[in-house]
Amino acid sequence: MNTALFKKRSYILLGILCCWAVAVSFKFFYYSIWQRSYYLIVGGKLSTREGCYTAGRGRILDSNGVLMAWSERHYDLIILDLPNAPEYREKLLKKLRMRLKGVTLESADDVSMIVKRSLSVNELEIVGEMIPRHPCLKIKTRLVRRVIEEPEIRRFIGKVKREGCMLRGTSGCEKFFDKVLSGKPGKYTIMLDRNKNWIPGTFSQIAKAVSGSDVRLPYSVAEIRNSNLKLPEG
Amino acid sequence: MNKTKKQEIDYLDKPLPLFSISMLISMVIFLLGLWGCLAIYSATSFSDSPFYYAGRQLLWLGLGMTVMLTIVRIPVEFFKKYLWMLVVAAYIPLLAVLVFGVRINGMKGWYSVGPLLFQPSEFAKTFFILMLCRIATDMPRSFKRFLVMFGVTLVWTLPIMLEPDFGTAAIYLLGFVTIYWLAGEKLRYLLIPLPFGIGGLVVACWQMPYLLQRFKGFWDPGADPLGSGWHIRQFQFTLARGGFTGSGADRTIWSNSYLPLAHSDSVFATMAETVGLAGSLPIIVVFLILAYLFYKLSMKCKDQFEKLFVMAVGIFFVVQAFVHISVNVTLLPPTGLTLPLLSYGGSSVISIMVAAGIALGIGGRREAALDAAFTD
Repeated sequence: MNTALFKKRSYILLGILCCWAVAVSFKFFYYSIWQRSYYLIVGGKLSTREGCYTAGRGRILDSNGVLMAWSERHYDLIILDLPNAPEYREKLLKKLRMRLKGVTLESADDVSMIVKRSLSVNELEIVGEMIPRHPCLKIKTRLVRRVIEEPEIRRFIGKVKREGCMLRGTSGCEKFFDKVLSGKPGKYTIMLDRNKNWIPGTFSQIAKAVSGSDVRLPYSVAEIRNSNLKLPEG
Repeated sequence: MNKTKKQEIDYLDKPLPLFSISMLISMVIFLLGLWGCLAIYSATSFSDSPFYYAGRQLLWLGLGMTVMLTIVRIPVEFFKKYLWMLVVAAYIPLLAVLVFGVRINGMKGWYSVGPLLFQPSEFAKTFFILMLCRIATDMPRSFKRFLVMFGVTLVWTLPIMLEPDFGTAAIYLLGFVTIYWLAGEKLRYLLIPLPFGIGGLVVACWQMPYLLQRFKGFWDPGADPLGSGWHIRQFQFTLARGGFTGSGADRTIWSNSYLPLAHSDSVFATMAETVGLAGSLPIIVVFLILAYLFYKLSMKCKDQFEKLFVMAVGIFFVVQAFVHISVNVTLLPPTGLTLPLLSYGGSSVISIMVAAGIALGIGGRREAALDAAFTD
């Protein structure tokens, strides 16, 4: 092996490495500086989601200030996109049954199943620890409208139904005072990871929710119970 | 005993000057390893145990430096004398892993020993280089030498291709081309196996459709962004997120949420998101400097075998680094190759330290002897 030839070929190899380094650096510069905004926008579309959350619906009180209708936030545990592996399913369900009471599997829609409704604070903590290891587990919140448990009052107060991020009154006082009670939903953007979980620290509020106002009726509970009151249409 | 050999042995125990080439290479290797720990921490900073992988890598780095500093003291005559035994000892695990190994990410290339995983193809690299350098310097320049070197390369890369680990096999083949060419051989002999290589690649793509998908995904990632183009797209978005100065070690959202294998196969992109162009471009320069330092060290060696080996170790190291970086900046399709010293992996770190230890042992001794010759 000739030392002069070795030296020459070593320099050629080093030269090739230098050219390679330049090509790599240029490509790096292309993504991180030159076309950065384009790739940030495309990447953002992949990961960022805009969402809304329901504003607190106002309460309905009688003339004496007795609470007749109010909203409660409940947290349900659901399974979304459960992997089609029987062993994994069995293990997961066994774990859930060991840690939570009252676990059932009811179909919510085509893709998700409700495991348990209305988790308590302790149960939320337990599930919170399981979620990173089991990406198919999700916590879904829902607003539940509660009314005094009397048929006459319930009929008078009316019902609500969810429309997107809002609860809309469909009958009775809920419908009559809907504009006052419903408020305005909040809007946010969030980044999701591959498993569609929220990425910590990326929540950004676009618009704050405005809670609905309370409505105080000119009637008391007794008056509503005893008479056949009807609200004007509209 | 001649005077030069006596000088080398006498100066074995004397420390080299701080800015000798050997010391510089050692320091650069150590600093790259530390930088790698930061990149690995960034890649896992959102997990439950963000220091788990980085901590383990730090341990591997410490162990690796110890191994390197131990091997440096072993005279090269030991490796020359027992070369063929070491080569056989390195080759057998390479074959046996196809039977006794564990399959991870579709590749049966690891031995599992308790909580640890060992990759024999990493450890075999050093002895492959030693063997090729020995053949290149012992045999005269001829077509026969090319056949022997190429044949040996095929025998070593075949079990790796059967794992299948085409990225590592490609590095072995590139290493063969480098050593072959540095040894003064004719490049035209390489044209002979070229058609077989291309044919082999076509057959491999036909038998293993995922290979063809990788090429398709690389060529047009937008055509199948959620499938074959996924990894390439994530590289693009990760590099864009880093920008010029990066997001910081605790804010590498993309590396933690979307980038596959962020702490190993995609570590350069993770580093780009952490410290941006400003912090990652110097890594490319450092690798170039490392290649040059290995060249300078090789020029201190008088023996042709030693010269070739020291230079080959440097080139092997830097070529793998550049292939990894090229994949991460989407200049090449994904290969599964790690970034030496910066990617997570004990086998990779230890094997690099073994190779560097032998090279520094050879070169450092020559440096010390030359230094003594000038100062005495």
